[in-house]
Amino acid sequence: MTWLTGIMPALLTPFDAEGNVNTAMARELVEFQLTQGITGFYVCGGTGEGILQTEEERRLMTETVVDQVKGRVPVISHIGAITTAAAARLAAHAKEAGADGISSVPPFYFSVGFEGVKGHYAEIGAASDLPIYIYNVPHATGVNVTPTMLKDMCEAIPTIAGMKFTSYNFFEMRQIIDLEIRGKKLNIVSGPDELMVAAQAMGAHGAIGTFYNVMPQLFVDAYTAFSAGEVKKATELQARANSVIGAYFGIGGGISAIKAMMKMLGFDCGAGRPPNPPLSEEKVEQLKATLTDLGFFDFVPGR
Amino acid sequence: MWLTGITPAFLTPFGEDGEINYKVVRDMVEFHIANGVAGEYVGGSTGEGFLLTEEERCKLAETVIDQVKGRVPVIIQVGALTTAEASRLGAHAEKAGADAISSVPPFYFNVGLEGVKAHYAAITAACNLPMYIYNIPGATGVNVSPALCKEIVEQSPRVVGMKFTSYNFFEMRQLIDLDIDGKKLNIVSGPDELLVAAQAMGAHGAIGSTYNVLPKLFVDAYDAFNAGDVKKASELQGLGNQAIQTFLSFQSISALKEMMTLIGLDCGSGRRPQRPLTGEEKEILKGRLDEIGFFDFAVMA
Repeated sequence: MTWLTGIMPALLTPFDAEGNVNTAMARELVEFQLTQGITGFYVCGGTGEGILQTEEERRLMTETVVDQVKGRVPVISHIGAITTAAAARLAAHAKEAGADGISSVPPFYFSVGFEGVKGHYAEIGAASDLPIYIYNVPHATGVNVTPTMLKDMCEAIPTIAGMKFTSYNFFEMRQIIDLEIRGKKLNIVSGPDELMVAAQAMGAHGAIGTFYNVMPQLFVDAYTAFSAGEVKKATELQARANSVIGAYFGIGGGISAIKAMMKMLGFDCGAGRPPNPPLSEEKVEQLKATLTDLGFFDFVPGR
Repeated sequence: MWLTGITPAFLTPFGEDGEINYKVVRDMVEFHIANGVAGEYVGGSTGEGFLLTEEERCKLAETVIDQVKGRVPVIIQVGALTTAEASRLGAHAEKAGADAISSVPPFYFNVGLEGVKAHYAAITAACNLPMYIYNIPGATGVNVSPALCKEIVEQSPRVVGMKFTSYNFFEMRQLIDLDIDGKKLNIVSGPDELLVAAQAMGAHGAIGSTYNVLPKLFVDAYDAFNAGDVKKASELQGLGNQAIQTFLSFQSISALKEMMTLIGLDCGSGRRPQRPLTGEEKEILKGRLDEIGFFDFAVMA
């Protein structure tokens, strides 16, 4: 049974100059992250631009990562899609491809109500027996999967195993951690990288996020220090990471900015796929200057 | 003035006549201090400061200060709708012997950034005490962002810190990291349900409502966390959160006051427009508290 702990990157999907999935670079990213102590991969989520890819591309990314990881850590494939049918097909594929778990955002854009959300996950659960991690990211989907909704769905859909919790409402996160379904606890991983140690303090089991692509080792160190009770050190490392995240928001944020940072570290992941805008050369320079001031290139190992 | 530890946002107890019960005020101070609190924060949201007359606010401040007798710092929340009243309460707090004042930004009227700055400038000109900005955007509709906070501190140097009552701990961390001509701000967290999370992000202390009724549990969580026993801290936080969930499912200040009454300190009800609990609600509340083991983990007064 999969039980996620530790620091797991929401893996970026690298694109080549033509905008196609760059599987060679995906393999390099996997190897780099593994040397930094990460404990799993989350493929084709928000950061991985899953919902901007074709089904064929998404299958290719999942297959590539599963093949490269070779069982060293769990691979969770995000299969959420705007149609229930596509999500269910991708769920079935993830199982065939050898992923360890699947994850899905609730239905978005169309307000389908609780029964609609539950029906969506029921079809995904019927298409694959892999453990399902609900991806709760209310600011992106407009749907908040509350502790009450989650409990109801878990009772109906036995393969729901946990949640990726991407919201600042850690009061609700704790209620979800404390839920008991048929005598079992759910596996809850936190989403906001900028509050990783705060989520740990509230009892989250692990963390999946964007900046673990860029600063895996720093976050692994913070996580390890926290778990060992070195809370001062953990807080300091979190603060250092947050200065970088602040610089990222300072230039407007976005996937292309994350990819620009990866390029500065020696991994050319291309740009974000439209409608994600590219980052102008001027903004790249501005970001690089700010990161240099923050000492980013001293505390983040590139290659 | 540098606040650390657990500080109750002091509940204002009312008698059956609806008047402040000063005997219970003094008993609460003793109960809190015996259970390890690091200060008292008087006349804030939990203390229903905005629902008290100016005269009541003054006498409440005097009573708490007199009972505490310098054992822990006393902070008086002087925020009010009018800048004039807030300034008068600030001057009174100083005369009464408070250690610091605190104020929400102007609320109800949208006065803009300059209006917020002018409000704090006037209050801090009326008294010499250190000032903690009370940032509670969910209640005031105004978020004192790190950038605005910096401007306020530059203009009003008696501002020394902030009570930060929001879930946006990314911003809280930016406030902790602010450096204003070499000066660091003293940041205390507001949401009791996230005390240990705020500690993990580097908050210096915490001020909140639940610390009235469960001071020892939260002092223990705070101490465990800072001693590196993160498992114990998280477990205690989990117990505290069950109590918080329970009172939040009722008219919350009235429910919190009923919990105080149940541990032996009769605080009456919240003042209108807050609704008192019905007899039936009191029974349901007591039943839920029983279920979560409240009477085992709470300390009786």
